[in-house]
Amino acid sequence: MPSPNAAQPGPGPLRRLLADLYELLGNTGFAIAILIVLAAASIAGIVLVDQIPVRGEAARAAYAERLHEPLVWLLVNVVPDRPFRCPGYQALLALLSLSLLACTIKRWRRTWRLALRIGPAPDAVFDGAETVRWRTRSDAPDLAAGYLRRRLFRLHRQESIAAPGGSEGREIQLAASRFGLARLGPVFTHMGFLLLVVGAIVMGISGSSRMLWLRPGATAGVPGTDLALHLEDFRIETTPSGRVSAYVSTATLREGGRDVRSARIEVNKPLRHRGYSFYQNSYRQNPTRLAAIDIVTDAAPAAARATPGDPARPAVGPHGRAGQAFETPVTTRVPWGERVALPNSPFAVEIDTFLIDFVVGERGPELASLEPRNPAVLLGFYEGERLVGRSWYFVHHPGMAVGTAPEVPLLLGHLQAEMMAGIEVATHPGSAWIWAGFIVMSLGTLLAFALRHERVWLRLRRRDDAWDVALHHPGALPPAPERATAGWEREVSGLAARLVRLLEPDGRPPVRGPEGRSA
Amino acid sequence: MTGTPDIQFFTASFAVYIAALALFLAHGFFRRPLLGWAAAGAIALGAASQTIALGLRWSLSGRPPLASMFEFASVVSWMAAWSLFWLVARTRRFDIGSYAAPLILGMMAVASLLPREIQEQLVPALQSYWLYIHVSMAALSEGAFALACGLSIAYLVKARRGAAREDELARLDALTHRVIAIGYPLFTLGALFAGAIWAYHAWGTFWSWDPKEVGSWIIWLFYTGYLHARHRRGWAGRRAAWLSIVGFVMIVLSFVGNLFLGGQHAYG
Repeated sequence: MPSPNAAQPGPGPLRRLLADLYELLGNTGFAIAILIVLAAASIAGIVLVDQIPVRGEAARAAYAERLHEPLVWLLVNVVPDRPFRCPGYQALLALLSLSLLACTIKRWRRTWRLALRIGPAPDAVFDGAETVRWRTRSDAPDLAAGYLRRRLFRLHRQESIAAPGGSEGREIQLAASRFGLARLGPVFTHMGFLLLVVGAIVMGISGSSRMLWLRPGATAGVPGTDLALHLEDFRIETTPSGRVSAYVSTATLREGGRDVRSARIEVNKPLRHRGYSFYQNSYRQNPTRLAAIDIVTDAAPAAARATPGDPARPAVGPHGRAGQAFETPVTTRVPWGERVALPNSPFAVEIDTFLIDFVVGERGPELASLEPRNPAVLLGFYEGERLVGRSWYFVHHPGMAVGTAPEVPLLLGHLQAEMMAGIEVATHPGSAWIWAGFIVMSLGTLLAFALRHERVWLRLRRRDDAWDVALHHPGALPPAPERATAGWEREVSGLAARLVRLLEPDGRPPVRGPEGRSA
Repeated sequence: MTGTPDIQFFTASFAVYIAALALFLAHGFFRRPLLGWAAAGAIALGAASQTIALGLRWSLSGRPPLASMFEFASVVSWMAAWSLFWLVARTRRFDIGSYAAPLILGMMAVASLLPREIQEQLVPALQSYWLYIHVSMAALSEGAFALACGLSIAYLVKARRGAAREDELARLDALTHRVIAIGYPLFTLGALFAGAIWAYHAWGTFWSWDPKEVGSWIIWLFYTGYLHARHRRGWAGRRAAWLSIVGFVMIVLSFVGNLFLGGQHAYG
């Protein structure tokens, strides 16, 4: 059986490690170091994003020709693909959050006590340099208490009499405190930041975002739900001077096949439904459809057509197939899905296919990209109801036609693009945490910066029908050295100066410092 | 002077700020209070002229002048000018002007190099009341940080020359801290929170690590570090002054970076 006097075993190594870790995380110097490292990492992240647009595995192909191997290896294996989402940066954010938590827990009790409790000051505070003393004959205690109460100070009054039965030796201590909640500002700020971090984590893990590209008249379902969005119309509104004033999608939201809502979705005006938000995010030209196309043909008889280089009939107007000049060009608009008769021709045409960027692939014409680099249209030619042939026409190669269509001189005119709306559908499961974080952190910021916790201690000692006043007002006195020429009113700032003026000195100016220097 | 009336007043205020700087420097040399008051008056006159310029621009465009980089830089310098006047008139420390006025002039110079055409029609992304909350608070806070930078330069120069008493330096240091303590909450609530909330409404995400967002994040981290270092570690004097200067350099880099880095904040 161990002796009662035996030394208690110390904490285990794990507990010691945790305690050390807690101490480290709760250290302000450590928190400041994380802030600096995080700022430096953020700067590096911006530089990476801007200067090295391609990173990760893609960098091997992009830079292999221009850079030598060690650098390429670095870009592929070391430089993060997404700097602000890489584990290193996330670890720094986690470390900052843990540090905030530790700092808050460590200082919570003291902060709470300072904020809400009020009590007499230990005598020692009146012996410090931040004490002002003077002598007054007025009704000082009640005057001071009334003044402080009117200014929203909470008061604690303590009275003692050194010599019972007489007023001589009577001592009154007034402790006053105002806006102590300001002390809780940093606590709220830290907690608010932690809520933001939690919200960001929840959102990052379980949030979703998906782009729906919709052409007018099309419907797209939201994956994993019974929701679908039907786009009635998309238009780009402009001012008379041609500046874009709005991107507007008119859409109907369907739930289980039933129309539930109709809405105009615009930038800054999303549609929200059952936790899903639909944003007007983008737009682009439909790469495989047109709204309409203008086809230019010649209304003049075939015999009257000029040929290039004919000095007798100079080429005028647009040129059709094989470079013929059109004597009397005429434009026919062919909307998508409609068959329209060509003037001065036995044929009617219909748009069969459109490719915004034409390329001949292994299986015939293919879409090379979503950019309008080499737009091409496949037109179907009809004689009555009979399809007589189809040919490809190219915007950038007006003299060229490839296909089985009859020889009809024509040109592609204006292509009226069909625009597609890019509607982003997103869920934000962590947004409640984020909103709570904003509110708590804003409250903390306002408490910390808009309010100032003011405390003042007054000790009044009765002596010869007068009061010796000692006032301690932490933080109010600037560190004025003895050689300061300014008068006491400039030295004791704010509240202290007002109290000194209220409890008029009896002719001698107040004195700063410990008791020995009292008037 | 050419251009729309607002630009004429902007140019006039630029000229008056130059005169104010000359008067502040003259005060520093001759130590005549009259010169100090004349300099303060010139700053007020320049700021008043700029107030008219911004008011005219508001009237001509039909919206608060907060939608372009020119307007932003103009509002930041306007805020810094009024703050400087208030500070100088209140403390009668005319020497501060010699250090803060060049920063105001610098911001005016940057603004004057940017496109100044009035955009009567805002791009759709900017058509939100959050524009006015977010940008105005960001501009006000950055104006305060600019002034704090000027005060910090004043502190360092005076401390190096031994031109001021210890208590004067301490007051300058405390003043810098107070100005930053005004700018910081404005920046937190306006530049970061209001911006994030607006991004949520417009883009569907609170934060997208856009270059400007990262720039604001860095600035916020930095001034948070400044306040913690000062309050918890007792950093004051030279070290705090250097931090304040570096903080403002970051603001300038974030502003200029908008021209080169692009992103969702590149509206011109």
